[in-house]
Amino acid sequence: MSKYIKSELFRIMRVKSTYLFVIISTLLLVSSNLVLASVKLSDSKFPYATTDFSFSNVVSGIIFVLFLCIMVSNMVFSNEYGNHTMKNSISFGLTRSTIYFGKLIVQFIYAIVALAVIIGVHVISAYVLLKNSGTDSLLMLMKTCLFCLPLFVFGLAITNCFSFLFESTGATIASSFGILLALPLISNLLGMKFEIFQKFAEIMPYNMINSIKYDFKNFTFDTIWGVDGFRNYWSIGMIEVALFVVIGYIAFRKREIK
Amino acid sequence: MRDVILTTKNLKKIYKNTTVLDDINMEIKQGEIYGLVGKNGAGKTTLLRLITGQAFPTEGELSLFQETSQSKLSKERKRIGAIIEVPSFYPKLSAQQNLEYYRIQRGIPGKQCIQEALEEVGLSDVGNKKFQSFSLGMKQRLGLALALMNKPEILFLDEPINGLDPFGIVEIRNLLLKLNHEKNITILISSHILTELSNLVTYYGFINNGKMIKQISSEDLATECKKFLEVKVDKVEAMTALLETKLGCTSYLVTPEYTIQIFDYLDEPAIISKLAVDHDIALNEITVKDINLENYFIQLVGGKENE
Repeated sequence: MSKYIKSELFRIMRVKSTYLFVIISTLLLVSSNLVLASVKLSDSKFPYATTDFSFSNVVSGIIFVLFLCIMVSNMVFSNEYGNHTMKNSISFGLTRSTIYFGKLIVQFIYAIVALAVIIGVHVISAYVLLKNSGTDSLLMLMKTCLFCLPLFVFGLAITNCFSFLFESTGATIASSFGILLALPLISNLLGMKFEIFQKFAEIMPYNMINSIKYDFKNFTFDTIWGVDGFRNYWSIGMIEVALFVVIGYIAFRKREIK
Repeated sequence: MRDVILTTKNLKKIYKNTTVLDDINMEIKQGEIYGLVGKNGAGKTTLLRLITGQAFPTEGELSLFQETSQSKLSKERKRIGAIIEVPSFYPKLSAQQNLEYYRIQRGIPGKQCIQEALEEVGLSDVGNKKFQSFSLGMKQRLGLALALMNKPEILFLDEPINGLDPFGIVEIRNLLLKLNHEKNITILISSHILTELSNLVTYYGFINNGKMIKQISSEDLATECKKFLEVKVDKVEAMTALLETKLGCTSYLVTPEYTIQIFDYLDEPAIISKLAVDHDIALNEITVKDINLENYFIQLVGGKENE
C-alpha cells in the first residue's frame, strides 16, 4: 500500500493541474482580500477591510470546499479507465483493495495539503493586507474546518466510489453532484411534507454544512444538535464515509479491468 | 525436467451468455516461447487478461508458478511482465516519469533499471518525451520496457509488434530471442503476424472461437509443415510400393485424396517421374508444395471461415 501511495504522490506532483488547482483556488480567495484592501484605499471609511470580515466570508462559503473535493478526487483518479493505466498495476499483482484505498488516501493527503495552502495563504494575505481584528474569527474559521472535515472526506469518498464504478468522468461528476447537492435539496423539499425525509435531509453533508448557524458578532457557531454538534458531525460523517467506501470497494473488487 | 510456470485447467469465461473461452487447458514450461495463434475475437486477449488478473474466470483453474489461490496469484504476478492490448501510460508524463511511477509502485530498488529498460527497447533518446506524443511503435516499445523493468521470469505479450516498422519488428524479435536465450525468460506471445511467430516460437497454441484447438511444438509443426513433392498418379499403391522397393523411400504420406506426399527427392523430382513412367504409371501431376504457418492455421480453423 505504501509503495502505491508513494507512486501516486510522485505522479500527481508531476502534473501541472495539481499545482494549477491550488494556485487558482488560492488566487481567487486572496483576490477577495485584495478587493477589500483596494476599496479601503479609495474609501478610508470602508468598514469591511478587516480580517474578521475576510474570515467570516470564507466561513460563509465553506460549502464550496465540499464541491472542490469532487475536483480533487477526480484529479487524483486521473481517468484511469480512459487511459487504461490501471491494468499495468493489476497485471503486476497489485490488489484491487490497494488501488482503491491507496487512491482514497492520496486524495485525502492532497485535499488536506491543498486546503492548508489555500486557507493558509488567504489568512496570511488577510493579515498583511487588511486591518487585524484579532484571532476570534480565525479560530472560528479553523473550528468550522475541523467540524466539517469528515463531511469533506465524504465528498472525496463518494467521488472516489463513483470514479471506480463508472468509466466516464462525466458520469462520476454528475453522480457525485447528485448525491452531494441534488439529493439533499430533494430531501429538504420532501421533508416539508414527510418527517422521515426531514430526518434524512438533516444528515446529508450539504445540509449539515449549510445548517450551521454563525454568530459573526461573537464569532461562535451552533448546529441543530447543540452541544453534541461536534460529536454528531464527526460520527455521522465517518459513518457516511465508511458506507460509500465499502459500497465502492465491494463493487470494484469484482470489476474487470481493460 | 523444466518447471511448469503456467497451467490452466478447463478455464472458461462467459460474458452475458456468450462463451468467450471454453475449457482452455494449457501448460507453459520454463524457457519456452509459447505462441498463441488465433483470429480476431478468438479469445487470445481474454485468456491473457485472465492470466494477468484483469478479468476473472467463470470456471476452471489458473496456476502461476504452481499457485492457484487468488491471494497467492497476486503475489506470483510480481514475477511476470505483461503487455495486454495497447500499451497504456499516463499521457502527460514522460516515458521516464511513467517508468519511475511504476518503479516506485513495484518497489524496484535503484533508478538505473529505468535507463536500462529504455536502452533495451531503443527508447533511451526519447525518455523525456511525453507519452501522449508517442507513435504506436514507440508505445509498444515503452510497454515492453515496463514489462522488462522488474526482471520478470515470464513475459505475456499481446500483439507486441503491432505498429512497429520492419526494423522495429526485427529489433524486438531479436530482443525477445536474446531475453529467452540469455536470461531464460519464458514468453507467451500472441500475434496475427504468423510469419513473425515462426521465427520465435518453440510451442504453439491455436485458439479458435474460445477453444484451444491444437497445441504443438515447433519441431512437430515443422514436420507437419515441411516441403514435399505432391504426386498425383493413377496407381497409388503401385507407386508407393515402387518408392519403397526401388528408391528405399519411406518418408511419404498418402492423403485421403489419393495423392502421395513425398518428403525426399525435393531437388530431384525427375527421379520420381522417371520411376512412374518406367513402370507404366500415369503421372498426372508432380509439384513441390509446402504448408506455411498461415496455411496450416487456416486449414486448422477451417479455410471457408476465413475467406
